[in-house]
Amino acid sequence: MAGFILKRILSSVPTLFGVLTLVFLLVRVVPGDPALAILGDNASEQALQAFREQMGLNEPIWQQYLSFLAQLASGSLGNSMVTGDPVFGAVLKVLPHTLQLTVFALFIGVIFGVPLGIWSALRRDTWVDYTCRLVSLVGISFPSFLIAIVLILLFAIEIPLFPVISNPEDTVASSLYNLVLPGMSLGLIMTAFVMRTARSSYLNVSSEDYIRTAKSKGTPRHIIIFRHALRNALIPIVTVVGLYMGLLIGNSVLTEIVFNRPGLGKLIVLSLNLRDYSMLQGLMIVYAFMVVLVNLITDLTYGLFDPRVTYS
Amino acid sequence: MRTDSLNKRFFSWVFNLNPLTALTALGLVIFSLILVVSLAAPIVAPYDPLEQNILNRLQGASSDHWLGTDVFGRDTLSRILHGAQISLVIGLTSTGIALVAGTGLGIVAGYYGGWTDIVLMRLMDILLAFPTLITGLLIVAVLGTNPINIVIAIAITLLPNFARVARAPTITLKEREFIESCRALGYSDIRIMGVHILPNVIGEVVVLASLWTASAIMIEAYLSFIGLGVAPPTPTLGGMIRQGLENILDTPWVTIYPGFAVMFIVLALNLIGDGVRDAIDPKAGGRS
Amino acid sequence: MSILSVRDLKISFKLQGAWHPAVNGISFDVERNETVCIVGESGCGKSITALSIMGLLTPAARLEGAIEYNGQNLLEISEKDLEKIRGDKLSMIFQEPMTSLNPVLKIGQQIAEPLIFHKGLSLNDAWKEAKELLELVRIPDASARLNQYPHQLSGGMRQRVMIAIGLACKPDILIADEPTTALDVTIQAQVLALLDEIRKEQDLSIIMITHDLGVVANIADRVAVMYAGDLVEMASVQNLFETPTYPYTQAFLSSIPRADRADKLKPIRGQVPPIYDMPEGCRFSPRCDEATEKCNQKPVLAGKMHQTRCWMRGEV
Ligand SMILES: Nc1ncnc2c1ncn2[C@@H]1O[C@H](COP(=O)(O)OP(=O)(O)OP(=O)(O)O)[C@@H](O)[C@H]1O
Ligand code: SF4
Ligand SMILES: [Mg+2]
Repeated sequence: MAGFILKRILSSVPTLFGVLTLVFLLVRVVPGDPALAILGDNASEQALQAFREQMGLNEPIWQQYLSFLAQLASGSLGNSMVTGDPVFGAVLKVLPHTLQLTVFALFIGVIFGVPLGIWSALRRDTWVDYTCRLVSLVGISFPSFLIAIVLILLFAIEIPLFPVISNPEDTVASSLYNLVLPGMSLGLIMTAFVMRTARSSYLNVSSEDYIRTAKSKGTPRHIIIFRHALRNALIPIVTVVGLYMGLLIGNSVLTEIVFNRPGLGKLIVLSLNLRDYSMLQGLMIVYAFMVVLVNLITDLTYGLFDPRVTYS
Repeated sequence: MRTDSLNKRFFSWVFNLNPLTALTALGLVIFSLILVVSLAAPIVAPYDPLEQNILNRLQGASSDHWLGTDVFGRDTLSRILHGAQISLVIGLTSTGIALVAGTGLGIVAGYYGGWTDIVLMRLMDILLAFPTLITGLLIVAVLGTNPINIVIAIAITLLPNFARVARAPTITLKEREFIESCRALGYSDIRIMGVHILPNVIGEVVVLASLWTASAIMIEAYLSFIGLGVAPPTPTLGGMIRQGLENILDTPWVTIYPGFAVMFIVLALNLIGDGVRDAIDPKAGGRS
Repeated sequence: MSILSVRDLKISFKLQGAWHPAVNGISFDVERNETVCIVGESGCGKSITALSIMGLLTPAARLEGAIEYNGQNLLEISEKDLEKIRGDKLSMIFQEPMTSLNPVLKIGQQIAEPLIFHKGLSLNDAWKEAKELLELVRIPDASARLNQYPHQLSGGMRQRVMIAIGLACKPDILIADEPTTALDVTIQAQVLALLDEIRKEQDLSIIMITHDLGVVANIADRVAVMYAGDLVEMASVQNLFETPTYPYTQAFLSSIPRADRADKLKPIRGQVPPIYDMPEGCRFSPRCDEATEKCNQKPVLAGKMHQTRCWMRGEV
């Protein structure tokens, strides 16, 4: 197991290395002078020069690249060009909010999506199925900010149950409470995606030979559904949920804007506006790392459902 | 006689219609309608989308302004029509570029194999290592927010998907005898890929294209919502939503209408995509 | 009284808006401790006949006639009652050993299931019983195998596991749909010998579906020959091999390469018509060398010990 994890991490090293290089290059080919962008037009030539010196912008690009790598190797993402604070610290401060949001949404998506999708499959070609399919299709077509706005209008304004804007300093209980609306807005979309996958996966499984074998044994229907079919159907669902996690992490940017919620998304938008390139660079690396981690977790989750998977 | 039986056939078709076939047709109708109306926006829009009228700001729906006005008194309907035009043009061109480039890369990677394959697919992996929206966001931020850059950013985001879909069947195809015999006949690689592999791969790619056009349109809306879309005052759906958000409590419709415009475009494309896939792969018959 | 009696069974599917019989009114009996083989070309309706006895046919099919087991008509009892009989009194082994076992459940769990549902055993007792069943089907190292998953077993092993599942509750009737097709020849012989042995021990009746005449010769007491949804000939295995009477059976037997009659090898001309395009009368008539005017009407299954459905054959 530990060996498997290590191997998986090692095998993603080339990709991560590519990510680092790409991010470095993108940030360096930015049209315009970062010093000018950050210090403003009326900064003195001296100040500009000092800034470039401090940020290492005067060195040749390959040297910048090497010191970029050296810095990463020492476990630092560098300092913000704007505030001068360490990027890593700034990321760590908001990361929990984004993680809460996406994990909550994932939770909602699985809790509602899997049963609904299977219900739809069990009632294939009845009005239940048609309704579920139409609803999930509408669900995946909903832009995530729209669902957020609709939820705000319904549950924060028409029926004021939940706060619109969360306060980052809250206690655990109230931060959970603050999480409900933003989490639901992402979670409903996730539900729609999971429903579609669960339905098709269950239908595929239910026509497998081993389900016929189970019936031939006189196995009661509910046991066929939960023991024989569901466990097999979960395997492809795990794959797809892993893929959609990337979508969820990306879309959390929008949710954080609409709900004015702290998180990686708010931070990246802020850094974009301030042209804080070192912060952007660090954030991109964190995002890529999260995706790699999600893939690893997905692979490990298979083992829970599928005995054919071995970690060696 | 003949028309009689044709009529009969038509009616039996309508009445035996699977509700889902009907939905695909509905998707096509909605999409064509939106496409025509938004491309004709300069003609059909009741107002100039940029014309401000401060006296008439944040009005609700009326016979003058069917969908009301925004904070500068601009007509929401006219702005939605122009915004939809931008969404569709950007969405379709970026998907088109991603389709052509991605399919090409996928076929080349699959056909040559070896290092070509490893390098190209590693590149695709690198692009896929970012959450969908984040790639586009960074590219636009770096290149700047003009329409061409937005198209490029979205195309790059979608490209790896097309490459993967095109690569897999190419690998199985190139082992087949007819490709071997083409090689034996001395056909050039370009010709083999273009004439013999492409037609076998393109079906699957096109099926997915309508679903990815939906993603493209979604990403465009997201980017302009974040402020990385086509720059104001040009109306974009995402930009309108963002602007309306400031007065969400008093005048929610300013955000809601463009929001639903995005949803309808994407929904229509998803309906078409599902239908096309079921039609091409009847075995999956309504399985997803 | 026969243990199973199929009466005028008709299985139809809806194609292009009309019902077409894929099995066209067949009748046969199965006696206690007897092996009946059903043979016939691919697509003649063997598997759907077997599945309809088990009540496992897709709901899209329309069933008519009667399938009597122990005096009750299986086509008329409720799904709940059928569940009680399935796996307990009637069980079935399928053609595909590689896909017929659930990949995510342990072998032991899969064998224990029917024992728990039908015999009310505790998981512990069922597990012990499962171990004995694995020994019965000659799987070495049974207690270790119980904890393994299907992918850890070879095809032959898996088919033995299927047989163990089928036999778990000591059924009256075991239906085996081409149980050995997917196995290689030596394993095939072993599995067949095993089945025959268990039949004798447990007073079991076997309905064996196959198109392998070697299997038939090996194991059958009586043979039913099907053609395009009709049961066209039924006889004891000696009679059928020595004096086949139905023109299709004659052609079928001589279309099989045999060491002793290599010279007579001749394929049957033409093909089975699709079920929406069947001739009105004898379904074999388009391919029959002996067909006459009369064959445009449906022949009846005639005879006592050796039954044949042909206008050109009297009592045999
Ligand atoms: N679900 C179905 N819908 C329509 N027709 C069907 C269906 N299932 C079976 N059939 C028809 O029933 C006929 C008999 O099928 P069956 O599977 O019983 O053949 P078989 O004799 O077992 O053949 P094989 O030796 O290949 O297993 C087939 O020719 C097919 O046309
Ligand atoms: S009834 Fe006629 S056609 Fe049919 S098998 Fe007998 S002779 Fe041939
Ligand atoms: Mg069969």
